[in-house]
Amino acid sequence: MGAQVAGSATKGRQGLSESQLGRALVTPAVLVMCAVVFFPILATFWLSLHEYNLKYPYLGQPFVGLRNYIELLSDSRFLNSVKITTLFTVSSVAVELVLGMAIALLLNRTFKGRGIVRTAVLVPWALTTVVMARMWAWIFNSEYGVFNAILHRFGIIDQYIPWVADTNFALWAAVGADIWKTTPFMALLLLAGLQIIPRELYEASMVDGAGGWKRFWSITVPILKPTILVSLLFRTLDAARVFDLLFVLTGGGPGFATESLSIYTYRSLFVNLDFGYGSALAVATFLYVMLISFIYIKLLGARTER
Amino acid sequence: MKRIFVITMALTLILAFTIAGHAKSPVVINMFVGKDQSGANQKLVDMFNAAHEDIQINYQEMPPSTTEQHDKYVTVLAARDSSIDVLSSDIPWVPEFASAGWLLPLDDMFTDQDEYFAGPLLGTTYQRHVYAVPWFNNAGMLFYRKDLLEEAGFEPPETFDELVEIAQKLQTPERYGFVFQGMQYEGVVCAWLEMFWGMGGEMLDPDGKLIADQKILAESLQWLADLVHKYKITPPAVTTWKEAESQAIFLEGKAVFHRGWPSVYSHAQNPSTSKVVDDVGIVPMVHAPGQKSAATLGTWNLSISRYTKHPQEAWEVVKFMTSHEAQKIKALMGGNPPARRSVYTDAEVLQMYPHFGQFYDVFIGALPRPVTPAYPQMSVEAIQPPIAAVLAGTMTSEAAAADMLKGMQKILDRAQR
Amino acid sequence: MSTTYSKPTKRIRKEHIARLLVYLGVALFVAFCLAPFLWIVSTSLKAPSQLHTRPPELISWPPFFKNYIDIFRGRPFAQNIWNSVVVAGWATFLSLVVGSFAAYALARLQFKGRDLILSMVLAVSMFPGIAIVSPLYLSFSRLGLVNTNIALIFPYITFSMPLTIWTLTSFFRELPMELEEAAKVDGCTPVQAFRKVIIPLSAPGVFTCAILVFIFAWNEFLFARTFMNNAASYTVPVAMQLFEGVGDYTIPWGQIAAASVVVTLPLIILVLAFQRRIVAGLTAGAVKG
Repeated sequence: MGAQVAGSATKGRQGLSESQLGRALVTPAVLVMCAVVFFPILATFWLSLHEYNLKYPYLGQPFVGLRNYIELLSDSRFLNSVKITTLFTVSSVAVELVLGMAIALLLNRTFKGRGIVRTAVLVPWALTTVVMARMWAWIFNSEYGVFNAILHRFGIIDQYIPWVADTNFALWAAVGADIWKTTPFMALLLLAGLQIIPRELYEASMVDGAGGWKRFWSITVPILKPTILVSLLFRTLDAARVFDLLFVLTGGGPGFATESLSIYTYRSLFVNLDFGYGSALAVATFLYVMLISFIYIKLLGARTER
Repeated sequence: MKRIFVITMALTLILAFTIAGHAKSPVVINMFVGKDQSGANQKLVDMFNAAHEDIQINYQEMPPSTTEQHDKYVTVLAARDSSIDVLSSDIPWVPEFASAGWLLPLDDMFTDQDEYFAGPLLGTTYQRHVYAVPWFNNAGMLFYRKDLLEEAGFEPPETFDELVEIAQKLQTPERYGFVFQGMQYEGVVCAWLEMFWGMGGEMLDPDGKLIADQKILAESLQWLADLVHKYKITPPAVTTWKEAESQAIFLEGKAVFHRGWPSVYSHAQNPSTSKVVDDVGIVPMVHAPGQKSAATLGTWNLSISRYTKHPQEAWEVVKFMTSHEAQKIKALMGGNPPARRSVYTDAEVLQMYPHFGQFYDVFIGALPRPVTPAYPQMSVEAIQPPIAAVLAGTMTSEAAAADMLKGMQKILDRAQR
Repeated sequence: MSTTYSKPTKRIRKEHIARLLVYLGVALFVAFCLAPFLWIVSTSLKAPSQLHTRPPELISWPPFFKNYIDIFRGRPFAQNIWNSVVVAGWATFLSLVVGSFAAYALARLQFKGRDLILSMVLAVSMFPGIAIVSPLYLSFSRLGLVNTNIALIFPYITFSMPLTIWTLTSFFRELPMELEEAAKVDGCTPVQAFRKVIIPLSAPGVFTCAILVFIFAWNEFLFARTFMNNAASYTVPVAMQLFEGVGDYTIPWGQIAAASVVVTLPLIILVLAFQRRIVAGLTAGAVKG
């Protein structure tokens, strides 16, 4: 499409000015994104202002203003899903950052075998989340799971535990699977950041007699800060939207023990068939995610101004 | 790209005309049914297709998980998709789907209703119209270890107290007293409803108004909690059990009593899965003194989609599938307890499954879950959480009962405002 | 300073140990990444009876290859894989065609509203898919698009387009500016500069981007699960979620593992072949912020 616009313009012999060309090239993409994202989100918002339950067609589709949002505030299932989403996000991202950083520092010191390491890192990243969730369901299996077998062998547990069926463990099982899938990716991003730190900086501080720990905090962390924040932003947003992993591994259960915002929204829409209330939940999920990005961008912005 | 599009369109049109032009080609009825391991469904389909030149069944199996089946029907039907003609539905879905306008009322066609049990008909009738024909029955019942009870000189229990007494006497460190499905999901509601009804509780009046008595709610929840925390005949791990887990424990010989569905019996009689062959007895679930036993129905039914293009032919399929003959084949081949009462007196069936006599007693007292389109949401949001909380010992039964009542009312109100 | 004489040998030994520890750590990390997948490969070669042992066997003998045949029996699994190829292929193609022009403009041209569009792209990439699923579902069912590939290709643009623009913009930025300058000196218009200079040079970047978008589209689950409810229209993730025994209630873990391996192999091949590029593409945006 863009090529046609640009191509026909060259025939005018004069050629386009830079800014005309720029706008012409960008227009199709902007239109497409409006069509698939901005209009649907407006439609979601519009739906959320209505009573609209496919199960109760006799209620019609009346406009109810903000009623769905007011009901959200006293909906314990909604508050629970906010809690679950936050718990999942904070705990998995925190562990991923610490582990990822350790691994990145480690990898930054090696020279041989980069290719193998890179492939190994990319396997968890590329693996379809649904596939990896079923894989972990088997690993966590309460009867024949290898996770139980290992813990049992080392005497950590004396009885096999139904990890994903137990209210106390299900969320942590999911966090564990998520950490496996995304820590390598985190390490990769941080490693890329580490590699642009000039070696001389370290050498200079070594001469000053700074220890490894001190060098880490005084050189690595400040320089790496933007990379850290950007990787954290990506990971946090991904974790806050979590759907596939929980849907397949635990189904949001037992009870609501692993029901994230996305899963509650999905169930409200396609199990309760409540398109009004479900849309309000969808908007709430959207706002939750946007709030997180806003905080990060503030943090990032504050840094660049300095 | 454009050319491919044009060619595809042309081909589609040609195809459409050829199909339309063939006046003689049979009507295809797409029938969606849950998983069937026995082969009985396939046999019935083959029989029907052989006997009908003008109607052919296209048999489609659904995922085995009830939840998956439900969600799939919902997304297909909500899209007004005509790809489903006949569907098998779990009993609590019937009012839900009927209210949504997805099912064809069968009042004029389904005329031999007196052939069926009362409970399933209550569940398939919504606002005085019937929307499904019961296909095969399923209801909760109490399985007990005949050998252990006989040895100790006990009669099978009839009341809650008798169950507790026997379980306490016969349980050992290796053998639990009473096992059931205690995880937070639909199964625990089925188990609990039997206790609630068995104490004389009632949920909705015929108009769908909530009439549950808070005191009975609290008592039934208390009894459930007491099984774990006071009588200690059920281990705390019950909160991680669904059917598969509780059944496995019972079949291993590690429990005296087990609340389960009819299929438990055939598994118990199978030496490759069971250590309790011939040691299992069946009675209806226990009840309070002066009250009656109750059983939660899990009957599967056949309905016709509102979006079918062939209602007449679809009914022919339903009629055939629910006939005495067909239900007998399903019983003989699959061990499915029939929905028609007449099959229970069939000599051939009784000879093969003598225990169907006991099933019959259970089905007489079996009830559908509250008949309202709001039920699935009520169960998930208002009933399951308080049950889970009392089982885990994190909430008193009084507070849980109050919560449950309030929650159910709120969801019912949403359906009526 | 007085101990200088003995230091070199000590330091060398210390460095050796440190080196060893580093490599040990790296080895552990590689094991951490690969072990679960290798476990699935091992599981995929087990017969049901070999699966139900406690504790599980590391590798069961003889290997049970039948799982790899059975996954294609009684279910349209091959069709599901093909659906994924088609849907992910179209989504990649469309967003590359539209996105590459936008990325070029954003990276190399000065025009009004450029920053606004960049932040819009960023906003779209942060979008939770669940937020638009309800109106899309209602429209698709009204238009009869449920169970068609269009119902997936269209919403997949929500993530494929920003990903494309983001990766390609940072790639285009790295091409030396002098290229177009030189072209201009030679009398080329900006359009000609783009066609004759930039397009040939950007092939590797576009290719990398295509791989990334394809992998993301291949893995998508929420839309696929919502808009596809007919076994023959499932894409791989939906088929994998609903993978079950044929005529059987038990969960066929051996077959699920075999199916996992089959659908993961194409991804692993992509990763093996293009690891360097994928890593470069993934990290490009992050490091430069």
